[in-house]
Amino acid sequence: MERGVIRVARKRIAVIIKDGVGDTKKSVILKKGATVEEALEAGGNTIKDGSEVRLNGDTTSMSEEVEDGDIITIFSKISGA
Amino acid sequence: MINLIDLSGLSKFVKRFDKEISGLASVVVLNPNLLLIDKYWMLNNISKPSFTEISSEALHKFFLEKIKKNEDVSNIRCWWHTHGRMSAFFSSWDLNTIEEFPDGTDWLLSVVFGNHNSVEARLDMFKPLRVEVPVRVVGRFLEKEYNVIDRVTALDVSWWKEGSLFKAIDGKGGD
Repeated sequence: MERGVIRVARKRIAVIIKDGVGDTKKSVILKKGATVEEALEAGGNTIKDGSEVRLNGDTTSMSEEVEDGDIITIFSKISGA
Repeated sequence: MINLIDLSGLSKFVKRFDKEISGLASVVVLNPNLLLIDKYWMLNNISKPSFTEISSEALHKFFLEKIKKNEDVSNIRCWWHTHGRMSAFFSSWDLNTIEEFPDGTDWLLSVVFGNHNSVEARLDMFKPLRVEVPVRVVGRFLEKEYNVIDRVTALDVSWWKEGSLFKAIDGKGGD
């Protein structure tokens, strides 16, 4: 008996991105194995000079792989004088 | 003209400090001409007589914790700081800071508190247009606690037509 082909659906993951203050939180759907850079591209986020990208509160690189439920935050220091 | 009222007690809180302090606050847009400061958080890591700073690490942690708890962070869009023993004004440093908010920020309310109860506020919209708008801080800042529903209910009554803002809010009459 010929074996049928088993199709495995590509897994998708959801990542939250919070970019600055205000109504800026969004959720993006990505393929499993996507990176921080791909998440930011999917979210349409651009990074200003001086802004820092963190993954779940930790410093990260653009090539870091993201997982389902991860939270990417983008902030810069705020100083007054 | 956009008007601003503080219902959070922030103005009373900042009077305790003669050095510069800073933080964020949540803003309720009651109508296109009236903003309310609802809650505030002091977040600065550095507090000096003429300088204050909130580190990016503090901001990441602050928002991360709230997002993890599924709290609504969309209204946290006010940066406030004090000028210690100086008057309230937006210094060139402050204006540069406003320009350096992350690219995702759509609009931002900034408030600076100075000595002798002086206060200045401005609204900066970054998207879709770059617009700077002066904000008038109306009346004295309230120091009584209200929940949001009470505030909105109070502000929805006929005070606006009568032109007596604080009479409707705290029953004491306003400036």
